[in-house]
Amino acid sequence: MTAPPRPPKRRHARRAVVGGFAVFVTLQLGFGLFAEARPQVRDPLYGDKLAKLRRRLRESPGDKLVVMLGSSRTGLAFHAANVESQLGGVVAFNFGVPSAGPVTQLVYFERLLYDGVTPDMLLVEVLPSLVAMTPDGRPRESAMLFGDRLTFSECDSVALYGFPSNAVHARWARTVTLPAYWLRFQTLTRVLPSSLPWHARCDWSRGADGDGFSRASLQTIDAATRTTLTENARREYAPTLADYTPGGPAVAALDDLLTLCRIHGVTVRLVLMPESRGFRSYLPADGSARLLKCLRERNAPLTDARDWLDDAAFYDGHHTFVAGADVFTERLTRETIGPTLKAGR
Amino acid sequence: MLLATSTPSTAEQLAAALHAQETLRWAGEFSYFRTLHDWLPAPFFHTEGFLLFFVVVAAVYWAIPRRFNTGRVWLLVVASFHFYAAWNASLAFLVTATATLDFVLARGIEAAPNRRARHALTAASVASNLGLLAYFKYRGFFLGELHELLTALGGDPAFSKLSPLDLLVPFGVSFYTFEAISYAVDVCRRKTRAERSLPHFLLFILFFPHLVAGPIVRAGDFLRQTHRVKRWNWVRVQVGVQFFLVGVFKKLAIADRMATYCDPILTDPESASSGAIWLAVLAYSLRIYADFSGYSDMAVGLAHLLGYRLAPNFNLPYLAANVGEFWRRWHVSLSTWLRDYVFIPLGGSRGSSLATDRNLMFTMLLGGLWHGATWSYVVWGGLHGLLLVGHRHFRAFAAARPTLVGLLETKVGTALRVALTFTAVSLAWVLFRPDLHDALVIFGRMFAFDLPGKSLPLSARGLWYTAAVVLACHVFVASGWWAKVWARLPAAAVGYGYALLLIAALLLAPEQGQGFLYFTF
Repeated sequence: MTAPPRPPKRRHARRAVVGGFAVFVTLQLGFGLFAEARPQVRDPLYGDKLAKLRRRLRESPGDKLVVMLGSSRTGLAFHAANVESQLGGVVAFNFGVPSAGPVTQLVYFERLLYDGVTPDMLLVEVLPSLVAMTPDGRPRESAMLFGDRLTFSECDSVALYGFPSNAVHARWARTVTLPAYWLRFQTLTRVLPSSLPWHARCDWSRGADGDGFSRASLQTIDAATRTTLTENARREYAPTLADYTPGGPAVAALDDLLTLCRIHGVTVRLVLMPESRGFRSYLPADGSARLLKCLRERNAPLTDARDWLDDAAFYDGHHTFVAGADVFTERLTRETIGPTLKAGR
Repeated sequence: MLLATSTPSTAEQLAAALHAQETLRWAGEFSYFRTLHDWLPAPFFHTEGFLLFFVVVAAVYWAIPRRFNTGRVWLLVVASFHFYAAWNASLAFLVTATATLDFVLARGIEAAPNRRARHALTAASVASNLGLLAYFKYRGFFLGELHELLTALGGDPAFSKLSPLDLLVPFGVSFYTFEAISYAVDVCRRKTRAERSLPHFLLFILFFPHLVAGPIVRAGDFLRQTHRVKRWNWVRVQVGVQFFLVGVFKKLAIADRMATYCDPILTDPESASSGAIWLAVLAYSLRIYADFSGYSDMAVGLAHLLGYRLAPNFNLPYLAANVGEFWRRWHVSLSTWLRDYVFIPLGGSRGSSLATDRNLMFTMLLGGLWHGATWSYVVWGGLHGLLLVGHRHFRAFAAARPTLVGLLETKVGTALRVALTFTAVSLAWVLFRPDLHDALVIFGRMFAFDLPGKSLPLSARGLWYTAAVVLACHVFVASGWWAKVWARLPAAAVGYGYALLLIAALLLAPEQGQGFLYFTF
């Protein structure tokens, strides 16, 4: 006896439900794999700057390439276009992104090499608070760089520098299995940025100019606002700098970055970025001595620019206005970049 | 950001007190329930923990052979108990105990030898449920008001006021007590037979899709379903999946997103500009609709996936052309409950015009109080009562004027009536918050029209897009266009639609998830 034919409505319903589930799973896995293959998708901070850098390289083929890796301090202070006009025959690019310390810089430098970009000269900002020893042995960056910005192999890499392996991998896994949710800010930043509050947007790099330089949204500031912003910065940094000892896995990441530069023949300079007088006072003299000793032991030339700018150049003690950025960049070009490129080393 | 040395804010103190209370509460529970709580910290349907719970329950449920229907019912009872116990085990036991009492009393009502005994047992059942509601939900309010009254009269109350921290209101208490009351009354009126099987009755009260925020189900509708043997049916599964996905979209992409617009403004109205408050009220109207109807859609969808049908709770309420119609479209299970068990027993509209107005006002005041034990909800209910009374009189006025009726029923007239109703309902939502003082400040700043202050935390563009999407969906569905197109779409297109709807919901979910507004009622 044969079974009666299934009513078409039921077949339609089954196909719709099963098909919908299959489409959802396929789209999620596809998006997850795409994000894994293209780190720019999961990390627009990197991807947008890479796109700008590639455009600059296409515009000026054959010119020497100077890249500066660093944090938001670099992003707002290294006015790369000025280097190009000051020296000529050079493409300078600002690869500063917020909260980037040695581990992020190492990840980004490896990505640049993988993406076929090998600079002639690499400037590496050293943000003192991000190379500090911490009580739990984890680099402070582990609270700022999460698995959703990393590929699987990068998760393994950062785990070598004290990042909590389980947490980083778990967050990575969620972005691969359900990217529509876990990569939604990265995605919405591209397609519907007005739907996100400013702190959830990943458009820092997109808002930068063609050479990667970002301008602070405010270029003039009243005394009260400056006091508030400076106080915020004090609360964020002063406790770490008060009893300061550099070391730990962050310094190991810095060492590995320098080694990688040597392997690829990239000239490298370490840079301590400008700070206001007040901000410099958060780091006591003995802490500052330990920082300088640590950096000199890294066997790479160091440019200490901490006292290069007046207090008026900053809006919060360590992030610069454009005028401050121009002064800093001019001097960095004159004293560090130009001579280094000229010496060809 | 707060200074580390500053005095902790009220919110911090509240959070700390709640944490301490939570720790104390769990100290008295079995560790089994603590583990359960870690899996399901809140009874929300759109969480990973709940979806895992549901998949396991549904898989076991459908794996039980059809001939063991009572086994399936027991499974759902046990699952529902665990669903509630994961949030609070003691209250889960309490709800189960009171439901068992209702079961026994209903048997007694049916078996009662005379009318007097039947009414006495019904009164006992209603009183036990109202007592539960009054103890958990209203004692703080009534004791507080009594305290203030005695103090104002110069007396010295021998009791202290209860703070919100002293009151742990069980999720859904207003919903399941109303279900139990309607059951006892229906058995007393001989509209429903008393249930013979305890697990079937427990499932009526505890069924997890409707336990915490409705829809308020009627025994006559639900108990019949518990006895019917369920067969796996793909059409029903599709309906369930569709309801669930629409609910998830409403919750994540509309309600939670609108909360990011309105919450910062409406919780601190004194510093907001007039324009921002108007926009925040619009966002709040969209939020409250998407939040509650989204939850209801998820509940209806989950029930379908288990072979049960819960009545839809919403029917495009913002297309209502008057307040009476709004209440026939909004929270339908509550409004019909109030109609059947309060308004009609009071006399309904059978008496004089004045008596009808009185009945309407009383019903709506009670409806307001049902939502929350604060004066703002009472005022909100009273305002809706006044709007209903006003509309009733206007209808009588217009009935004698055919030209006016003709004008009002043109397309333009209907659009204007819909806009006016939406405006009135939206303004009334301002009162639908626990703090009456804040509501008055909001009204004051709204109608000053040009007061400066902080603006919306996000670009208003997203708010307008959302309003346009909600309006378009309402119009498409109401015109019948949507049903026609949907029925003709091939299965593959429908499947893509489901996938894209879920992806859109996940993409648009804001940074911080929000609880459900109606869980507090």
